[in-house]
Amino acid sequence: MLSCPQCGAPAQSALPGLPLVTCTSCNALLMVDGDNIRNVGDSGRMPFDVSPLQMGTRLTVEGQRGEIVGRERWAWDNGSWNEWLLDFGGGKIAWVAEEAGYYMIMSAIQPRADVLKKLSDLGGQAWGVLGETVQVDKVRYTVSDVKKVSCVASEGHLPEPIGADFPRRSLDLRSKDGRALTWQRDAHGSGVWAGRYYRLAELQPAGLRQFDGWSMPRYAGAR
Amino acid sequence: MKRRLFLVYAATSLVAFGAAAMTGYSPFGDGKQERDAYSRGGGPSHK
Amino acid sequence: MTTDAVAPSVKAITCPSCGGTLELRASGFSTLIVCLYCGSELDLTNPQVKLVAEHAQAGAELVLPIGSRGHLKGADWTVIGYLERMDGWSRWGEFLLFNPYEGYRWLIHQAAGWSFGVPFLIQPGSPRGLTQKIGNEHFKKCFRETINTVDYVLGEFYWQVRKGEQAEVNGYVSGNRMLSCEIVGDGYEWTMEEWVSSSEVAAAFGIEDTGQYPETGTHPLPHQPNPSSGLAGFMFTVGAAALIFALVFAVVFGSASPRSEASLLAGDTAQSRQVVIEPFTITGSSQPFTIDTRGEPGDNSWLDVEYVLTNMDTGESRVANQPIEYYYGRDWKEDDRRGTIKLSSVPPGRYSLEAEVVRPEDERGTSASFGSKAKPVEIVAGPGGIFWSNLVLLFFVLFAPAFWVLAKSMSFEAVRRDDYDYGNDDED
Repeated sequence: MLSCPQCGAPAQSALPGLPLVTCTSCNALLMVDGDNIRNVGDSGRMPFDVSPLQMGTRLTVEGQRGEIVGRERWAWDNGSWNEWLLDFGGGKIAWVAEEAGYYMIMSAIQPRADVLKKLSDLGGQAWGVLGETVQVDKVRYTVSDVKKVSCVASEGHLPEPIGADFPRRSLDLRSKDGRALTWQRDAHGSGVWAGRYYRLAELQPAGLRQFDGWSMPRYAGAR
Repeated sequence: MKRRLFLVYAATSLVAFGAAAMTGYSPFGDGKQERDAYSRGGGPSHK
Repeated sequence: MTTDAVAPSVKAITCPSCGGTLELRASGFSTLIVCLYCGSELDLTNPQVKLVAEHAQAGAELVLPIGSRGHLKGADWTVIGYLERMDGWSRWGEFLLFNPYEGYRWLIHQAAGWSFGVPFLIQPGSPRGLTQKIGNEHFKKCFRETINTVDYVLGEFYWQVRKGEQAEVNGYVSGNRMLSCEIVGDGYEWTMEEWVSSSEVAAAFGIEDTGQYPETGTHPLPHQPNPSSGLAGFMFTVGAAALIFALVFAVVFGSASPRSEASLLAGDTAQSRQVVIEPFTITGSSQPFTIDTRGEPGDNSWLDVEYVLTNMDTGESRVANQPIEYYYGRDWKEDDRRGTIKLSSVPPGRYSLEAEVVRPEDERGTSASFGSKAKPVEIVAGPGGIFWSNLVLLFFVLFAPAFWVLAKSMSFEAVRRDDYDYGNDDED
């Protein structure tokens, strides 16, 4: 049984490929390696929101059932949003970016070197990149947003030590048919994520959060 | 509602038409039927 | 480890300006709330509510007050925000609806009616094009790009909306849907708006019906369904089907029974000008009685055939006459050497038909001129026949209301297109 080195509360063990957990009582960000557990930072305090997703919610993406095991909340100058970590098991994960009723499900991709270079060039510029296009795997994406973001808080199981105030640069691109591409660079390196928007109903959700005064949608499965 | 009303209206007029056809009735009649309508060589209408 | 606990859906915050308690209904999504009591703008980007600007704005009487709940288009909604926008021509309200599972929707209240807007995350095409295509559906632009200005803000929003915020707006219409694109700076916001009847909105939120064009407003909304076009189409289809059915029915029932023929050469003797054809038998129900007459009156002359159809059992008779004429001049001709008489509703019975030809020579007061050429007349008569006038009458009865509804539908479209910038007849 692991316990938080900061407050002594019981801590969860790590999931495959997700070496970090957050302490539910003191918000410490904990790196777990077998029986070795150490405090690597502050995960921050997760603000209240009315997201219908929660730890344990199960979603189906392209026939694969996954479970939400972690979350990061990011903020930029004019707002903030949740990035939920969807674990399909066997080390396969996806991020679910939440936009009130819409869910952009993103998986890591390895684009060609020239595409990667173009993305990082665009992502490094502060302005003048909106409307630029990038072609990845025969899909044409248009830059819709470039911004500096920072983590508000994180919770649950996580792949990287990202806690409160962790900064990141991100470039968002969209295709005409609803697909999205995100390039990110932060202290842990850079990565490219591709995916598309889904409505909650399309994800066959189960174990959604219940709210006072709201009935569960009909498409929601039981826990 | 309006569609149903029109259907009833169309059906009624069809029934009236059918009844007229089956009894050889015409409100106008085709052709002159009255002795008063005798032309007696009204002459050409050409002017 | 799913939590079964029921989470609160509302978070109370205190307005730092007036101290009023506000209910935050889309926590985590809203980034701005305009205080319902004092109109101050509060930034919600961070958990610490920050006063952006103080205003002394009186809370307006809204058709749907902030916090109203309703069930519309298959889901429950709560009204969390209200905007008023205006362009150079009009001013309208936009209610922001929220459901934690479904996200945001817009309920747009214009003078002529309501629309239900769904945020559209894919970008169909250039936001300034003349048309947009989604799947196989073509959306057409009706108005030139307009500039909308936010003129009033109340409640919660997912962006930092400010009074005075301007957006360039383009709308594209297909049927009862309008795809609109707002351009603010470098960002595009696409919304798919579906026309919704004012009675549906009233029923959904339990408010009084605010009405829609033609009760309110001067023009129908570009995506307001034409209340008459479907009905007109239906009426024309039904009318055409009924008319074809009637035609077939008439031909089948009116097909001629056996006919009898008689021919005579109308000469100077009275006998040569008279003929009796008998008997005709009508059985079953009443029938028309058809008499075809053909004759040769001679050049610029006439004949008149007088018919008497007598019921041989009751002695009742019907009379009719058929003029036969042939006139001509140098460059004209009036050829009426054939004619058909249809007597209507001849009751069942046995009949005889008497025909008597009157020539100009036989006219009273005209002295008989002997030796004039005998005029041939042929008669074909018998029960049965079709009254085409009945079909014409049926046509008018069936199609008059259809044309009336079509006219209404066309005038609705005319009023709708009246102020269009594109696709209008007087565009050039």
